[in-house]
Amino acid sequence: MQSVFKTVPLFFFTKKDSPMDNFSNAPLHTEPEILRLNQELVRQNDLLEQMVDDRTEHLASLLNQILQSNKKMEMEIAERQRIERILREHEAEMQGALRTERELGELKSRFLSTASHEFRTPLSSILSSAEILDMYAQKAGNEKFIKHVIRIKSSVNQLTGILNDFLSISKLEEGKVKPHLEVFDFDTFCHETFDEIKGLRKKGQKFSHLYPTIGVVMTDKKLLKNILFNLVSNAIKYSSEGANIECNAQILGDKMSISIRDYGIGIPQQDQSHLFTNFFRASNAENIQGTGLGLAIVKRYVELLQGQILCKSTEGQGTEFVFTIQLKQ
Amino acid sequence: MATISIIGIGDLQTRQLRENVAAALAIYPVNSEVVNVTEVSTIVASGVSQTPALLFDHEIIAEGVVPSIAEIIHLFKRHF
Repeated sequence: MQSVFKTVPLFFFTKKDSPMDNFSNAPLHTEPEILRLNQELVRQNDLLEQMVDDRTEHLASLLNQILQSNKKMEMEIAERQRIERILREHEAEMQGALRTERELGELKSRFLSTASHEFRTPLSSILSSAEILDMYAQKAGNEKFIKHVIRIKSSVNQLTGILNDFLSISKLEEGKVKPHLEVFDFDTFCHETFDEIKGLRKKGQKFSHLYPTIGVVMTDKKLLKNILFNLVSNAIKYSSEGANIECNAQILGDKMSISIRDYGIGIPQQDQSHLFTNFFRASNAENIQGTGLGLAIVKRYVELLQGQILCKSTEGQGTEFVFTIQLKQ
Repeated sequence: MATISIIGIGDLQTRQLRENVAAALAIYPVNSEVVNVTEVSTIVASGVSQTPALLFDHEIIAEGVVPSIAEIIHLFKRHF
């Protein structure tokens, strides 16, 4: 920067050199004094310039910090925009995949439903023919014949059960199952349901009803029966001969809690979180017949009755399923 | 005519860059106009991330460093 102070001001000139000699009343300085003042002025000027330089350096450093922050922000904004663009693209892809998945799911449900229906008709014919054969076999008293007919009937019933599960899950997935409320006596209902299931029990298995009289309740009887049937038949299936199966029930305000406890093979810890997934079978139940749909259906039925289901189990010691349902007033 | 922009508020490095550019132009003349950008808002808008910065026709050639006279001549030869 060009200094303005480097030119000596007019009033510092000596008396004899001053052009304002005759006009100024300002005190006149001697030559050494002027020299000293000039030196002082130059020193002050240098000091000021140094200060200006220091300030400029400081400002330049601040400016660089601002510029770098700006650049960083620009980069962050660009990165965010890039990520947002990717996310938007993925969202579109995901929605496409979801749509395809939904269509496939519907197709699968329709297929299961149609196939199950189509299978059930010939199965009914096989079963009625087996019943007739059974009648003839009983009359003839042929043990071998009777044994085979029983085997046919049992296999047909098993297949019908599987198809019923398929149909139930299809209907549930299509949202076709709606609860139909009715008022009924729970104790009689329970007695009848367990009476129906008792034929499935293994040798020596016993049911214990550990609940007091419940009385009249209002809920969907058919759904509740299906839930109980599934849970109790599982308890029978996964318990050994002579084992006890306990049923407990209690009313908690406007809810009802029911538990089915068995002392069977139990469910491994790592399998418990997948229990209610379609077609899931616990790792220790692979040799026991089942579709892996029962508990998935149970969970959805419980949810339709505005309830929840929990499982407590220890492998080798048994399992307890506890579910609640909302009772209507 | 080309534009050579020297961006910086007049600190030591910026002044050094101005001197180097002037010296380089004396050795390797380029038909150009030298613009000293010192206004902070203009500096921020110029897109540089550090000063001093040297721009040829609004393209950032160097920033945050002071190229030597020889380097500037080399840059002139490459760019113009």
